[in-house]
Amino acid sequence: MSTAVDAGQHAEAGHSHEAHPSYLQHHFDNPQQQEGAAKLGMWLFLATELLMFSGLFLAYFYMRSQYPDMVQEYHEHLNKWLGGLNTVFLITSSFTMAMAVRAAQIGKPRQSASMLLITIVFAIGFMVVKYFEYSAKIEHGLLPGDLFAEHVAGGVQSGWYGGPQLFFGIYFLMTGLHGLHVVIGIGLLFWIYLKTKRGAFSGNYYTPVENVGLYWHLVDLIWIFLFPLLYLVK
Amino acid sequence: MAKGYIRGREAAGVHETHHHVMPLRTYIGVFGALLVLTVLTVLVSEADLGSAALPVAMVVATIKAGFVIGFFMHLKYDTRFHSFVFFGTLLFVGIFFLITFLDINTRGMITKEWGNTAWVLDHGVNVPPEPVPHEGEAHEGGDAAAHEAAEAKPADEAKPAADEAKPAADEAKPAADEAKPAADEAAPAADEAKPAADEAAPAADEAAPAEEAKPADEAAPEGEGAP
Repeated sequence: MSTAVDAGQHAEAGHSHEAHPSYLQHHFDNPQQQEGAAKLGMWLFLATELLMFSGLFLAYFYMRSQYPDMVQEYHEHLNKWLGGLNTVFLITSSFTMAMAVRAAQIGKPRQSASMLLITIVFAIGFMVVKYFEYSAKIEHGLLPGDLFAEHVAGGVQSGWYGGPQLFFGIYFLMTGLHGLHVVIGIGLLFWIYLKTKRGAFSGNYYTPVENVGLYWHLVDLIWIFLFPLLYLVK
Repeated sequence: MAKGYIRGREAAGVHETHHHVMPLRTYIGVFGALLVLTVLTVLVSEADLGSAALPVAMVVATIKAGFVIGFFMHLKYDTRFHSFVFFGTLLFVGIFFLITFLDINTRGMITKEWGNTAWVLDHGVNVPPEPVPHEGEAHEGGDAAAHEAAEAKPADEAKPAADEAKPAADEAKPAADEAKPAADEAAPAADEAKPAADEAAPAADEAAPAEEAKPADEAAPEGEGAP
């Protein structure tokens, strides 16, 4: 009997000590399995994100194919230098995010935290530029649908198909959904930053940092296509 | 303990993580490349490339995306299954785009070659003749001037009605293309009827409640016929 108890205790000890560190959920065999599952889940989520945005990209290309002249004319109202600045902001933040993940990987949480902070600063910078762009559009009445030029020219003519309000509809929908992702991203980055500060991550466990990083890179990825399509189209 | 497999090969030990730490200069190199390509896209957009502008911009964006996915997102060094998920998604996006544009690009062909067939299937063999606008008619002066004020209102009502018929016509797909020009003509027809005799009024009124493509269609010749 005593041997059985010993064996049990031994197994228990071995279980909680080696195979199950504090960050390992009880339903996973080992940290690698947990990480693999988390990352696969993240990639599947990113796949759904891509599919969601693909619908908007399709709408954009459809509009372009139907009203090429209108798109040509009205994309000039977007400030390509502000758009370019935002592209640089997002690429830089993507770089600092990758650096944050790398620092977490090699077990340097302090460096990771400061890189995350820089990422957040650039993300906020992106939203500030976006704010100025949006307020300029609203001021000039460059808005979707019936809102177009309502307070500038006293509303649009009804039955005006393929007009600029269509372009600005697509513009606001695409950059708006992307901007929403940036805002959510800022929240996630801040959450990860706090966890890093609290010492939740180590070289053995940093999956949340990596997954938020993947999300943030996807946000950058979508902007890489949005920028030339909306701001630079010719 | 279960054996771990990494990229199809058995791992030395599952506790040896497959974390691939990339050297710092790789990240910096990728970052630099992304910035250079961003400047390049902006410069290329300044040059007038005509129809080549979009493909060039897309190629540059795709190269940038490749850098982000491959290095920042580690897909190049990651499990192949993640690549499968990602490129599988892109494949379906491609199918989505391909089929949609196949549809869009062949629609004109269908209306030209089979448009009449579709009309016959929906409306029987009696294809209505193309309405011909009668210009210079119905200007008889005299009592027409007296009616002008009275006619102005219903005639104006006919116009938005014709506009309303347009989106409705879109729903009645096969008939849409036939109905649109007809609905458009309803408006000028109603205008012509303006100085005309009393008979024009019921015709314009009929155009007003037009909610489907068909009634709008019928209203057109009537509004015109009113002398």
